Amino acid sequence: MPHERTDSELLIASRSDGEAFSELYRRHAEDLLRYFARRTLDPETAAELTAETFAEAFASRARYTEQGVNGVAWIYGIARHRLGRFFRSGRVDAAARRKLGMPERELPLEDYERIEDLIDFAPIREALVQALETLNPTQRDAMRLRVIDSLPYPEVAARLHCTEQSARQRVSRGLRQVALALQARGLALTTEVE
Amino acid sequence: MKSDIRFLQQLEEDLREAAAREATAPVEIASPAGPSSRRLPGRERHWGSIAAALLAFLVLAGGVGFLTQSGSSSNDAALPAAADATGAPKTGADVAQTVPGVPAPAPANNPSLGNLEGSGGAVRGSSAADQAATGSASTPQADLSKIIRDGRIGIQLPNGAFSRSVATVTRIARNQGGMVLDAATQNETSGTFTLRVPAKHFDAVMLRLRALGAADGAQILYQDATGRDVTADFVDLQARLKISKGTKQRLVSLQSKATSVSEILSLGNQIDQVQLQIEQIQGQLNLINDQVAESTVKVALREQDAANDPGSGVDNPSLSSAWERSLQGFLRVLGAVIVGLGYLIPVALIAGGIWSVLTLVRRRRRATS
Repeated sequence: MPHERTDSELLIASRSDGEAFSELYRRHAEDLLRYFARRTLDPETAAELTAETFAEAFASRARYTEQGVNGVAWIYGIARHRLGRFFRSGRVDAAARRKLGMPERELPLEDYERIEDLIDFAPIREALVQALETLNPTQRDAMRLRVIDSLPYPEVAARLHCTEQSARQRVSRGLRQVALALQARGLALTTEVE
Repeated sequence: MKSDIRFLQQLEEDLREAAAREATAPVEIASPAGPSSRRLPGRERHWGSIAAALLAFLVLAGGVGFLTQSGSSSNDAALPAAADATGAPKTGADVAQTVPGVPAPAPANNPSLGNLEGSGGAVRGSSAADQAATGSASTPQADLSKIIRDGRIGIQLPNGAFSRSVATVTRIARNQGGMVLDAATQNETSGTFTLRVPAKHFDAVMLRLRALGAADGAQILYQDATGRDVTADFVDLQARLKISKGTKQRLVSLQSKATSVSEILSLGNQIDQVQLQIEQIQGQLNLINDQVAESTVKVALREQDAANDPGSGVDNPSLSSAWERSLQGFLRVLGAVIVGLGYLIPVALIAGGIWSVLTLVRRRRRATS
């Protein structure tokens, strides 16, 4: 059985071996996406933050030296920094991706529900009810139907008399606003590295 | 493990392509560092940007400050000429003028010089020209202002002209009622001289020295004249002298009425102290009067091929003079930055306010859409 390289070894090897970074990416991308999704409660934002974190890790991988810091912890350090900036500014910039010439991709429709599955809404449902009061009526209705009543998007769209895309956007933006409201009240979910 | 989330699959492809691009045309990659390698590059860039912006702002402020100050000093620079021509006093606590390579002044027999002579008195009040200009005074006012005027000039002479020029400098001082206080020469090719001349002839002396620098083959390396207004100090000292004299009179009166020896002794001590104060104040007043009555002019002469350079402007190079110059430079830069900040901060505040409003509006639009 071949020796499986550690995260640190992969990071160091990735300076000259592009495949090593891909292996590291496949190992942690979904976990990192979950990490962001549970903290931002927004699939779009979580995906953007994941992309930006890996782009920044790739661009600055030569800075990494193994000095007691595990490779994945180093990546989560970048992730925490990115998350903090998002909560301060309310937006995700694409500077690292632009620097590498990477496109800014939109989240495919089929990924919304998949990422929401990662979030696990149950423990935060109660807090959301209160935070929903801070939203405008259209966002609140969309959030209530999707998050509290757990209706699928086609039905949410039908009840709100709008397109499915519009319903997804309302929920996504409502979630982002709620996440920011929770953060402002000190009610953010756990922030430790998983 | 490959994720079934399409966004992550696309992202992996994008990262592969970035790696391929980097392999064919390496982009700037930070070199491995020591302990700082664990710091986040984004944060480093963030603080770096802030520091760079702050530095740029301060440099800009300094530039604006220097520009505005040079603008105002160029206005001031015109003042001495006008003041000399009209006999009007220099105003302000300090007035300095530095004119490197100044063109030759009018020769001594120039009629304009005749108008200038005697016009540079150190003890001057509002001039007749000022009064005529304002039309506010029909009767001459008492002459109260006290201004100490000093100057210096550095002249490069043609070779072989040093001895002749020294004689000329001495003659200029003597003809204007002054003297050469100090003289130091090196190899009969360069030297520095300190002249003490009556303040009312200060301008005439400076003009004649400039004429010396305008002779064939000579060149004025630098020239400046400073005026220090000590009127406020003088008036303050006079007031203190008056009060002290009054106090002394009262104490003497009390002493004459004292009945006990202890009272007489105590009052005597107090009178002695007040007398000491009176003498100190009188001494300071006399010093100011002396300084005002006579001006100091430092002259540096140097032949073209002389080894040493008395035209450096430093008469006695020393650590203290270097320190004073560095301090002066530091304060000038600091002053320029402060002046520039005075101009830029309101602009920055307005720009920041507009930016904040625009950002707020943008966020609200995004939130409500």
